[in-house]
Amino acid sequence: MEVIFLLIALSIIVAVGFLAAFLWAVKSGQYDDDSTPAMRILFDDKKSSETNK
Amino acid sequence: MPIIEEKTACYHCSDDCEDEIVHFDGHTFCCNGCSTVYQLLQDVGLDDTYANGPLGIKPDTQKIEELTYLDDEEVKESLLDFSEGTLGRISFELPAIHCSACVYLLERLDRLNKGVKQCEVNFPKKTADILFDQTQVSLKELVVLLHSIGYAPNLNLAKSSEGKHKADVDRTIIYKIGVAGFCFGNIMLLSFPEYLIGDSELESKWSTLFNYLNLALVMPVLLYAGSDYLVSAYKGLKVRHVNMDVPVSIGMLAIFGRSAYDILAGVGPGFLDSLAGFVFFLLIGKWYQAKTYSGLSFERDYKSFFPIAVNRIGADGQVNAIMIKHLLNGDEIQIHNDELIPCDCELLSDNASIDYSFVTGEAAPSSKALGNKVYAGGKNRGAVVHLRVLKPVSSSYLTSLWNNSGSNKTEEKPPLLNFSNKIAAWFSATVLSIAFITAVYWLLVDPTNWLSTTTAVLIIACPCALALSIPFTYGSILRHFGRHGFFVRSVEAIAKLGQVNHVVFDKTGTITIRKGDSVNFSGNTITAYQLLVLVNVARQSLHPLSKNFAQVHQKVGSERVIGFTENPGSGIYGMVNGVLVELKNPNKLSESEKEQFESWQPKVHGMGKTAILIDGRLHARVDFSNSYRPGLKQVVHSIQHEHGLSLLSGDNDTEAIALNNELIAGFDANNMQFNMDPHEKKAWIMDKQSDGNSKVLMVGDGLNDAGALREAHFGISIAEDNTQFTPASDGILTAESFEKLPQLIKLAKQARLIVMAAFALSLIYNIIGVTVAVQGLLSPVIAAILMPLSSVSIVLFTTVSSSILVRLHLKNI
Repeated sequence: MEVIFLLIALSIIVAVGFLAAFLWAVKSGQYDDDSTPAMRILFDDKKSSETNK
Repeated sequence: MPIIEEKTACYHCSDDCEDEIVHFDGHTFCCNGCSTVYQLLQDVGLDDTYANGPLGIKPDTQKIEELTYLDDEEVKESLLDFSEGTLGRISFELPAIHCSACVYLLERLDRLNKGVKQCEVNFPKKTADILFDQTQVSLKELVVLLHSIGYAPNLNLAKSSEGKHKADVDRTIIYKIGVAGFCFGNIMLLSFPEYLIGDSELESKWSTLFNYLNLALVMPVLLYAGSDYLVSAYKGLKVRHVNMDVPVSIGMLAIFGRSAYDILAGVGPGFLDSLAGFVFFLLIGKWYQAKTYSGLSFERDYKSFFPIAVNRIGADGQVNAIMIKHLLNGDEIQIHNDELIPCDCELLSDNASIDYSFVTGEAAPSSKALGNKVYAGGKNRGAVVHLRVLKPVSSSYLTSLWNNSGSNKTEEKPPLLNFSNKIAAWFSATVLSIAFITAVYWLLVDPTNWLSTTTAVLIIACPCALALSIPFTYGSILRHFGRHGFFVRSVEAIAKLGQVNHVVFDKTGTITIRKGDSVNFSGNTITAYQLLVLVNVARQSLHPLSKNFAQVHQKVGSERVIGFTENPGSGIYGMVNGVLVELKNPNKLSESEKEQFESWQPKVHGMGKTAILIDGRLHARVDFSNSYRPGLKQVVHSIQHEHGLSLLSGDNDTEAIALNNELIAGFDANNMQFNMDPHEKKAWIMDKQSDGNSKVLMVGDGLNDAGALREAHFGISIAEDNTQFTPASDGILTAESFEKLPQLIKLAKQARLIVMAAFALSLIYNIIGVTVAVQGLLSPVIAAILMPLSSVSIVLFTTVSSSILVRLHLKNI
């Protein structure tokens, strides 16, 4: 049952990792605009592989 | 079989193909411009833009020549966000962005010009961030490109004067919510064994560990997430001021202190989950209240309306574009049709027709002659004119409206803040007294647990319900208003709207539709053919009345006009298929003609009277009258019922009779004032509010109302569409939502009732909690249940009540 010390320690580390990821993601600015990315993913770029730049 | 009239629609802009149909690549277009853009897109493989239908915008090739000022280094420096080596970056406002096809097309701008490295669109803000290679494409070429595909950028003085790309969006509230949420969740989890298992050997072994972990987890909440409240309370108390953060801080510190003692002394688990949850909910409330609308600005001043540069004629006759801030007295400038005059000038051309509707509200343009003074803000409606600068831009008559320091608007406290401070003071005093009494009582009766009972009182008397009522009620109402086309600057502003007792309307553009003047004929009848001829002649003219006339009858077919002539102040004439038609200023008619003209009484009196002559003989009369917004009658009626109502117009009084008429508007004749210039409007409002009790709601549009809008307790600008300039105000009302105005005011007033009800609800929680606490029965479990329960129920109550109230008032409109 003493293994619970280890488990708690590990789970706190993982949880803190998630918090850090959250703060990093918000800081990167990706959530500042939440409607334009929704439009972007629906675009088809069929021809981009064919056209030469 | 029914005959279906086939209307061909343009494949690019979706307008009906009226005058000409251009066929290209199997599609129909309304003009060469649209077909050119189609061709352009097809050449670079971007015809997927049309995947969901027409793009819906027309390209604009009008003002290309006037963009030479963009080559000027100083202008470039002021506009670009940064410029390093060969790369430059600029953020353009593109009001034409309206759909996902726009985003698709603009983000592939690099295919239209190799110099563009990257283009990122922000749809809600309607901006595009463009990174480009300055050696391959210049700023001017970029702007020309955008014009040619129909996305003309908004380049005005405001853009060139504001600082470099604004600092990052403030995200600290999100970080704090994240941290508080994280700690709250984990502390709750670690507290479960304590609550669920109760007394058992298992508990005592691990409880110390979990308690210390909780203590560690609550530190970021206290020192980071909740720090604003502590700091604000401290600052407030330093100046002997109790604000809502004071009871919040008392609660926070009491919980922390008691819990820290309990844990370190090993006597209990503390109440840390209540603390973390408490801070978490409060932060969410703060975030919810701070809703802003990207893409709208409540701060626009004249700079958003003025151009960046203007053409100056040098001593040698050469025309150069220079930034308007560099204009000096005595400079000679050249202003084209539809261009804005940037400063007070003297007219050097023989005559000019200047439209001041935006600035003073006069609907019809005024004719100026050589030597007359022309004010900044007017638009030139006619051929090119030359002007001599009399005053630099910043000291023009117009800008004095903003720099006017003679404002008597007292710095009254914002009503919501005022109200919540009062409640906070009352609440803190009550709680502290109860705690004091409890302490004294227990010290006398049974001092074993006196301290824990006293601290329990401080812990449970949670002001969080009080602190959440206002943000969630007003925050919800703010969002509902937005959905109904009324965008308010902040929650404080809604509270101010609820206080108004007198309403003032501007006329031109506010209760009238700017582009919708109605046209009434009287005199001899006009045949369809004659109308055709008239409209075609009118189409050639630049005068706004002619343009209005042409627009009202835009369905009329196209004919060739020969010999078109426009004499400012006199009229216009032209010949179509041998018929000579003239639209003439009635003051220029001969005496006998004038008599006949006056004998024809129009059904509705209007402001623009024009004589129609066919083949030299006076034939008919046309009156242009204001077209009023639908629902004006009901709006006036509803408002007059509850508040005082006045009309302040910059226009002349020809519409006074119509406005008094119950069927059209129903304004009281004594409450209408005309010919008011912007300073007079502002003074009127200042005067009205000086009695101490009147709080005025001003509804206006345009620069001519700017001073009045600022002076009024609450200012609303009416916007026909998103791209239109709206002067600084507390709220922006879209034209379609004009009919909802009385209900919106009523809702703002009733929001207060919801807050009161929420306060009452939170009071019930507090009474239950305190009753438990004074008896010494408070345990962490009870606190942990009661606190989130009260917070969540207040949030639900306020948001649901707001929705119900909004639906009740605005359902049928």
